[in-house]
Amino acid sequence: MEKLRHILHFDLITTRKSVAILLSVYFVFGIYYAYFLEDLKAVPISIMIWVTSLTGLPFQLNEKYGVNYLLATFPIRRKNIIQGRYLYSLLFGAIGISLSEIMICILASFFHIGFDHRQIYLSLCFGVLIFSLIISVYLPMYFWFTHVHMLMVSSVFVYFFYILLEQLYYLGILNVSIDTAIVGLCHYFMLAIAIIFLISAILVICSYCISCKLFLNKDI
Amino acid sequence: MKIIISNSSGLPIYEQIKEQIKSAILSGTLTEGEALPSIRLLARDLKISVITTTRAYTDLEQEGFVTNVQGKGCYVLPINNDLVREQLLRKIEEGFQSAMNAAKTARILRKELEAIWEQICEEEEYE
Amino acid sequence: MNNSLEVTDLCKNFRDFNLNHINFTLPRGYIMGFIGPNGSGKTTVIKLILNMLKKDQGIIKVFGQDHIHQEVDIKENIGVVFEAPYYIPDWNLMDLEASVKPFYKTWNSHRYYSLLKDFELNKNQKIKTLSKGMKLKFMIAAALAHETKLLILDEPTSGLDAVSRDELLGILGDYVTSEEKSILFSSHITSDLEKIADYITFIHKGELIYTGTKDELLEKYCVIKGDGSKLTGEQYETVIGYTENTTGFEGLYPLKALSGLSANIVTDTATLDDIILFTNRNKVAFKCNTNERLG
Repeated sequence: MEKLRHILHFDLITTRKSVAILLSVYFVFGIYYAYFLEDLKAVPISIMIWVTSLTGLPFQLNEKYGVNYLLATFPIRRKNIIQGRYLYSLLFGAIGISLSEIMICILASFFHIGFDHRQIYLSLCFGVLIFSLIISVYLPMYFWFTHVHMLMVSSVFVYFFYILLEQLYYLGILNVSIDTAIVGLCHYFMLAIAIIFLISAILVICSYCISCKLFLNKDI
Repeated sequence: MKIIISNSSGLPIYEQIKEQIKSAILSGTLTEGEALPSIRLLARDLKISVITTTRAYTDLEQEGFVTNVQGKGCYVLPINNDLVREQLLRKIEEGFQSAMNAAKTARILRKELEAIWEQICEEEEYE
Repeated sequence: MNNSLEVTDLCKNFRDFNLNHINFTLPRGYIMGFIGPNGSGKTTVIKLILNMLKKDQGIIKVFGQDHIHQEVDIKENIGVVFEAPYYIPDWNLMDLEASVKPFYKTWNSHRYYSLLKDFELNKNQKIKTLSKGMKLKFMIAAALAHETKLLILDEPTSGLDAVSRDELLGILGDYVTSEEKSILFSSHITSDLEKIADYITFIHKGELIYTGTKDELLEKYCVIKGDGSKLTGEQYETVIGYTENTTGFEGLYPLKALSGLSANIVTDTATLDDIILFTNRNKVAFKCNTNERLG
């Protein structure tokens, strides 16, 4: 457990500069949604997607500067490295959730927008689901190929895919969008949340097992 | 005492160390009971391998010049006259052998060789 | 536990390169030089010891313990210096300490900062602004800041000037004044090892050519030069890395066989570089300690 904390600490020092820059990006997005669209539902989803892009940063930096060689000389097991990286990702997921909550409260009171709590929580869950999905795919790829710069790219891709879905709905081409799904699921609020979290948890656990299999016997 | 190593002297390094310590002992610079520098410190200061200094000290011990006290280091033994004599006799033999080799190469006859020896003895007034 | 490092029968297969049956032992308190031309497999062996690469076969013991089963305990007591600092260039030397310190139980901050001061390094300086010599020094400071019994250096001196290399040798010399500590020093700048190494392991194209004391290796061979026609057939076969040019030939020759040689042939002491060079030039693979010709 202690070793995980050390790896976490190590990765946090690696990313500390970038956090400041990206945090400002989130605020900008939040304000955009609140002010122009008056729709707070999109805030949590956007934040979660952008949080994933931040998550991959230390891994990318480590790859670029060969920090993994250094980690191989530390008195830690390879499993600890995998666990540390997952923990780091989950930590940023938690930060994303907290940030969303705070943002929504600030924006709602600042721009005087009303909102349905259940919708907000559901959209948060969707954000968590998307986050888990991207992380679950990215991390095993990182541990296998170790030169994958995909996290930021995939986050941007998912984000624009999300916008595309919304636009297609507004244009009448699609019958559903994530927004309508959220509204519809409000009836099954607790069940929907439970299922979404369950799916997210399963994704991350499967991903962790795959990462272990890939990384434990790999040549660095 | 100072030990100086030459990389171009032709003699292996451990031999140089041995010779210098031996000379110091025979000339009295190193006195009986005095401690030699530790194997590792000597290696560090001369920037050479520990095995080389170990070898020099081991040889010196075998030849009876020093004794190695386990855990403490090497100490100079009292000069054993027989030892000294043996060392110097060996040196004389080596010198003669050297002269002989040179004589062979230059095809100098035995008589000429002996004449050279006589001349040196006379110059040095050696009995 | 008398040996810092024991490598037995180590094998690793890559697509276009194979490490074959590497055996060597580094006793406690000594420096082993790891020599061989570029690409001979030195870094591969070091990575295998550190479990960065997975071995196909063989046993590696560090401080008497298996290098995989007791990996964590072993790495507490190892310091590693690579060719380049694998840290984030934006970090300064204090960030480094902050991130590395928690991993080691015996990290001594006081020692780290006093080493930085001895090396005249400013702790606020960023890693990317350091010169090559300074980078090496801070890597050593980081490696020495915690209690270690084995120091592994992988080509740390390539690209360094003579002054920095000499300073490094001084630091390493100080390190082994303790009988408990050993150093594995891989380098292709053999003049450094020629001075301070106690043992030498020589690897060439993935094969072990020699392992043993440095003195023994240097006393085994000499370089001979002269007129090639003066060699008998058997003597010609015995020459290692025979190279002919307009002025004559040169090659490596075992000292034991010197007596039969013609007087016109000049003999010279062999340096480690000579041994590597002539071994490389040799068309036929051979091993020093068995005097066997292979292939």
